[in-house]
Amino acid sequence: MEMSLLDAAIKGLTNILHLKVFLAMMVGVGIGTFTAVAPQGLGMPLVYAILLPVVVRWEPVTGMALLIGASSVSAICAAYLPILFGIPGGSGSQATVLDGYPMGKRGEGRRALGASFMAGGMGCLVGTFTLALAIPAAQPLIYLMGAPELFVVVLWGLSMVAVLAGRRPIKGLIAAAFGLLIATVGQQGQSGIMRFVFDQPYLLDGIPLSIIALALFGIPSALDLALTKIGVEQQPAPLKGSLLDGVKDTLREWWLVLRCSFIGVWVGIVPGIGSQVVDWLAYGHAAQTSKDARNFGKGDVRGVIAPESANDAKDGGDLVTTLLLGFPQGVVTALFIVALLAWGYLPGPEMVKKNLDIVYSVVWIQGISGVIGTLVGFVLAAQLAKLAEVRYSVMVPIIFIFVLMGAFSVNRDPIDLLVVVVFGIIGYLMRRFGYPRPAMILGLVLGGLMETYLYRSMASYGFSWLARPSVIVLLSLAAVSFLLTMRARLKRSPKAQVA
Amino acid sequence: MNHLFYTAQLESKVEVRRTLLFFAWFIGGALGIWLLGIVIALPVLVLLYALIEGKERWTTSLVMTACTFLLIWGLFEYMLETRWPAGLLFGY
Repeated sequence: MEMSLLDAAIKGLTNILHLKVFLAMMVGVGIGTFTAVAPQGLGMPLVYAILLPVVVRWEPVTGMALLIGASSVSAICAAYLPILFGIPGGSGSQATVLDGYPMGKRGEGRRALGASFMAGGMGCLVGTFTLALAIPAAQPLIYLMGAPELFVVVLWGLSMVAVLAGRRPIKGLIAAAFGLLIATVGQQGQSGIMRFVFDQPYLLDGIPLSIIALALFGIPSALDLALTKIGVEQQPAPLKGSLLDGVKDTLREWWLVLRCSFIGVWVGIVPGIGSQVVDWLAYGHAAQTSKDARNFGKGDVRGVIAPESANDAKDGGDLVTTLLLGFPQGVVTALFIVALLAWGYLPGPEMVKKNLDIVYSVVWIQGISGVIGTLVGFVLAAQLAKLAEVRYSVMVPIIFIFVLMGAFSVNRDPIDLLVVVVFGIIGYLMRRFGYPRPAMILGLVLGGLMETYLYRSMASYGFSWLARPSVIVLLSLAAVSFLLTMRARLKRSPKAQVA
Repeated sequence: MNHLFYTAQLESKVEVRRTLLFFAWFIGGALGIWLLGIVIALPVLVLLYALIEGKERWTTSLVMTACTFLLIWGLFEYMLETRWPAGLLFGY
């Protein structure tokens, strides 16, 4: 059942015009705001892991509204901690501290916040438009992709993420391979063969991914809080100045916003560059191209605008590969793919062919929640500061509750609890010894997809799929980029890699 | 990654003790759910953690406990009609 693009875009909009979808989006907005502002500990991967077991029981569009509402708002409000407390925000909002905190300290906190919300909102919209335009542009190309090509694309992406995710490429590869290995547990989908089941009924369906994600991200961050016992203890920078000044600054620098947004989109689309660097890339770009760069690092508003717009535009770019190729760039989109699979969609060409309206619903939700997030930022700017004062003795139990309850709600089986404890310890060890957990989650999520594609390729073509010209081209591209990146990363001293 | 909090240096003795204590709480919570059932175990975990580990005031701890109970019982058991299984001690 194919429909024209316009029909799909309109149907995508009508899909989300329901009260409960709107309510779900608002709950997501609330969660996202809290995540962005509450000190450390939470973080979007953990929030997604917590929400996953709940939303997969909902109707797809409602669940999507909750998930995307949360992540897009959390990106827009991410500048809160950097500007008012001098704490680097979540990944993608770390460069903001360089200029945001000096602005906050000299009494321009509101101006910096206004600029960050505005730049974030604009970046988010640029990302969303790119996503909307990428769908028709890429459609003919996507239709050419068969199972063999998709297998190679996913393999390519996974290898790049593995190499780039952590500080040491080898450890990243080990983590990704570990994820792939865990993904094989259970009954193989197509052939019915049991793998690593050991006669345990619990293992028939594999180890539940949402439990692993909860444990892997929840436990180490709760432990960080319990170890340092730090909440935000310092006084926030005074909330002075005017939000409107920040808006004016951003509108005056519209060209910078646009350029940085495209940097963000580009980072989102290209596999493996990852969200950790997007803000630094944009910041560097702003500092290099500005005529008068003397004030960078001392509280130049452009140093806030650049990273924030890039960070929020990135999500749109991220969704391009997630929705069109079924390849996620990070943990958040990987978990989004898990939700899509649970709702019965196969992200990638199949979803673009069969459920184009749902793809457009995602686009609409992304855009609308970006606008709502910006408004929330403006309206609640003064109140949000109080959220940042949550203490560790409150945060740690909250994380405990959500991790244990989330895990137990998956099957309501005591073995769920065993799994969450075991993977909590594994997550701690991975953090401690520098194995990137995102690489493992991606391996785990993509393992099943890769196997499906490989199985279909072998079933349809035997080994001759390896001789398809498109496969050869993609494989060589993958091999070259993998080897070049690997060499570059191994050469660099570990010290230089600490960004 | 380069969070300010991660760079806070701790004496290794303190770090080991706090890490072990943390996992004791966590595993204790998991065991509690298995034995007592989630509706009892998680509020108790929150109460004890806030009082003993966090040294919060009684009132704060009780409010947190009540919120936990409402979340688990009210939201899940009552509104979403998710029946949590009872703990081992109370028979399956």
